[in-house]
Amino acid sequence: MFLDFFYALKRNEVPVSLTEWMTLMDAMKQGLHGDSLDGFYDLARMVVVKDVAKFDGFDLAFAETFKGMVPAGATAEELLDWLEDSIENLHLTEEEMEHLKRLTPEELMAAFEEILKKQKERHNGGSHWIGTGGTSPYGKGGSHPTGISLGEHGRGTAMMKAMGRGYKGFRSDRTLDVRQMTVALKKLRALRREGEEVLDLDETIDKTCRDAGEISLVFGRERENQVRLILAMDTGGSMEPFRRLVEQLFSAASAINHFKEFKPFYFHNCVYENLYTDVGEYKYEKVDDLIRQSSGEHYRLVMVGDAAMAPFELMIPNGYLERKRTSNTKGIDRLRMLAKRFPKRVWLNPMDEREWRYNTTVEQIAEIFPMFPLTLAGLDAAIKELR
Amino acid sequence: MESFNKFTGTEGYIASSELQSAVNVAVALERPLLIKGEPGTGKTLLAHHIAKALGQKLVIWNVKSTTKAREGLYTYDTVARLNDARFGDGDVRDISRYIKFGPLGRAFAAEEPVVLLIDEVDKADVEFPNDLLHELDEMSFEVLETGEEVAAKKRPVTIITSNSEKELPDAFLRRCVFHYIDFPDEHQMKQIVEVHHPGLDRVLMERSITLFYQLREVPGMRKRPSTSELVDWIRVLLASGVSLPPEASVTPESVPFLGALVKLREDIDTIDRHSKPTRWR
Repeated sequence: MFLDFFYALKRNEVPVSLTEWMTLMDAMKQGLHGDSLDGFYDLARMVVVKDVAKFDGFDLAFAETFKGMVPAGATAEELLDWLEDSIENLHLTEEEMEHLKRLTPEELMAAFEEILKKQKERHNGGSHWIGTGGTSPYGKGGSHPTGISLGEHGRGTAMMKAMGRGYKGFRSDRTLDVRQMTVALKKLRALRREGEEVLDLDETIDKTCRDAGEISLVFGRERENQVRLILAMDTGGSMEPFRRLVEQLFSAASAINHFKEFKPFYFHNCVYENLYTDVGEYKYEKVDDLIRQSSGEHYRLVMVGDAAMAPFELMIPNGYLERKRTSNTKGIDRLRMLAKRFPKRVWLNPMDEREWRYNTTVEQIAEIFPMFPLTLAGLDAAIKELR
Repeated sequence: MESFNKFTGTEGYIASSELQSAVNVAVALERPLLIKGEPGTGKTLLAHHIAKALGQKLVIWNVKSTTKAREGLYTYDTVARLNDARFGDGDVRDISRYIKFGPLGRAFAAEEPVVLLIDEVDKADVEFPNDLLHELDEMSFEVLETGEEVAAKKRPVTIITSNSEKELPDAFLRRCVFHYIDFPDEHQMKQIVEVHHPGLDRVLMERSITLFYQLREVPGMRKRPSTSELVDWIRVLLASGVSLPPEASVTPESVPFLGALVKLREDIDTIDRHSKPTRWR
């Protein structure tokens, strides 16, 4: 049964390691689950799941595995239908509570099966049948101290199914998480001794020895990263499926506090006259200004986008009607201008590499910007290119 | 088993049953307990109260963006030693005189078992948690300069808090027991407020909490008010003697001392915008 649960977790994309599983077994041996299903639920979740986002998956796996305890006659939906009704508040006497407490989970389960076999129709407020607001330990909203909650797991199941479908689309191309991106971006550095003054221990000892024990403190400067990163991201339209991935890259880059300067920008389709600093409020910086201000060898330009657009949006003047534009420069010429200014530049493309050749604009842009797929390997290669 | 179920919350701290069992499981398994949750849900406070409930000393390590894993173990004050070597103050051959233990070192070296709080572990560099894996596993480390082995006689109860600013490495997560502190519901919130303001007027309690949850429900808030802000706000209300109207709508004008709850200008604008549509006739 427990092995089933392990694989149910795996199936529901809850990452369980053997270490965690052994810890759980160890905890069970120590009796930390308090001999109850509820206790086991809490214990298993805290030992195995380390991410709130996976709680739903855990609920689903839990329901899946322990559903086997409910006889096949009744489906989860049928049970839920019974239970959906309003719940009356119940006040149990001390005596009744005491009686219910005496049942062990196994007895509860056995009794549960018995009742299910007998039950033919909806039943509310009784003390034996499954229904809502009863003193029976089975069912939803009851007041049994070690009772089994059916409703919640049922709902969790449905919720998870809905979510699972929503994420399926880009699960396969989501090969990166924020952490991996951060680690990759950290490799992008050009260190130079320009930081705070710190004691250079080796030099101090060396000099002190040369001076026959006369202490001479030698100070040096801490090494500081010189790289200034400009990150421009395509948003909206055909980029919508990659939104999460790009957002992750953005949060990774902005969170590491590792660059001398970090400027994020947004664009749509291709870069035209302006680069936006805020998508919603149309705040922008002129590309010309950016090019003028970003002089120096430490600038790195990273473009993120699928580079897929209608050919005219790239190749002809006025190909794309941007708000507040004052010139007619073609998209491709803008890209060339950027390329000229930023010798160290890359284009990260979230699209599957095999699909690149079906878009002529991808090839045209790849001629101007070294293009890499937005995967772990692609990001690593891109960072090498930038160094 | 008799050592289990030690922690049931304290007079000054209301812990949900899940949180209680998370603490007790972590203690029984001798694993670090990783606590996440919205800001202001009492992550840091928890460690203080665990220490109080278990009757143990608390050692706190506040992690900052510049914190290195090594600093938690010990630092070696070379400059002082050099200085003593030159000016002949004390025995410079004894390196251990110049070794200062960090919070982790102190927790390991303590005679009595302690509670160790590693606060906001996600503030530091991404590699920081990985650098601590061995030390937290073995609860021991070696002082390289003296060859001395510092090992915990009794494993400290370790509480680690994180605000999810950075994701933590898997290897680190595998070793922890995890608990996510849910934002308290109205019932729990009443208990919490009661702890901070014993004997608070029922009416003020009801109205302030209703208003507080209404504020939290306003869509589009950048920073929603948290428990600690509610507690402070009630303190201000008490001090000023202002009473809350029975059916207050949430507008910047109708909530007295809104600044104690909402700290961002744009959030106040959001509340203002949100309150407008209900007004048209």
